[in-house]
Amino acid sequence: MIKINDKKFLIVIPAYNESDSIEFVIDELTLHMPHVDILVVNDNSSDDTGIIVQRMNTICLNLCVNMGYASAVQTGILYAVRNDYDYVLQFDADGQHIATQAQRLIDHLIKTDADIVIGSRYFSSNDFKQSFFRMLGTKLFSKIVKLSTGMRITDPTSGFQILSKRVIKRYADMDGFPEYPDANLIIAMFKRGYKIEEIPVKMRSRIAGDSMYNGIIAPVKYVAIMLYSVLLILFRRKGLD
Amino acid sequence: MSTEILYIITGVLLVGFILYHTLKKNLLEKESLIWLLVCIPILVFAFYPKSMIVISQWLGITYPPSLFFFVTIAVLFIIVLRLNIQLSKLKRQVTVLTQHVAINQAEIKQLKDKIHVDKN
Repeated sequence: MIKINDKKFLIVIPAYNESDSIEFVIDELTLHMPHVDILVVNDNSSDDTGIIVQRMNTICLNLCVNMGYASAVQTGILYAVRNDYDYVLQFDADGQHIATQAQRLIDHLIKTDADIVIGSRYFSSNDFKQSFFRMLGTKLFSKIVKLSTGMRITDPTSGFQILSKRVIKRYADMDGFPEYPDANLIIAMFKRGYKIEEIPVKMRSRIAGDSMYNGIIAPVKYVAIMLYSVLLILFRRKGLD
Repeated sequence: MSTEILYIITGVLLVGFILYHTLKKNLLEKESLIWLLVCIPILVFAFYPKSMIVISQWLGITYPPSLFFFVTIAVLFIIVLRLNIQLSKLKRQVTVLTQHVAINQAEIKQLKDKIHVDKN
């Protein structure tokens, strides 16, 4: 286990049917971040994702049933807590996140001593494409975060985040980790006094597969669930639990 | 009269059905007790149909069978909600179990690999 500034870092990659992109993602991370451990949480993929990861000598957690994105992320966080990691970097398996940008998140976290650093794709221009409904949802929840916390978070749906030890312990113990851990979690963590920062990062369009927010029904469902979750957090004194 | 017999048969069959599954251990004792409590008003209305009329008049309900439907729907609503609460709890428990199984399996594999390397 290699350390940066005496701290242990773990990259958590939740993956569901990402056999077309996972090899590229791991290769890129290994090339640019050889000092960081990589963990893939295979969310019961029906393709060869798990086999590819194991062949690449990367740590792989195989969920025996499909649990969804949030549970896969939380599984990685649980692993990090059990193995005493100091920081967890969430990284997508579809190739959207760029390995060289991950180092920027780490640097910012160390520099500012923040608890959560979010990589935003809307600070600077990039070739990232997203659907109209997703864009609408992002803007809506960005506004909601601003109104409820006063923080300017331009990309609350970004899964490109680095989390401090305090946060990973909190997430690991959380009873009922939200199905969509986005704006709701940002507001809940802010209410609990965690320091949250956002920095611009570049992202690519996904290499293969479809986004879980494609179509009309999925984004509408997402907005409804997220609005309800945010309302519950605002009404609960302690946020999520 | 035939309607009353139908009510009685239905009520008795329901109680029998619940007790059968409780004895076969298909239904937890606590759950079985709740269902038996639900059967009480059904049996009361079946054996004493006039009770429905008396209670309806007391509550100001002009059509007595409405009381039966109201009670049934309210009770079923509560039971379905209760089941949903239990389902949510079970879902969370399954998530925790699945997560721990995955981590344990990975750790077992790592230990096995380590033992294999040590042996060679």
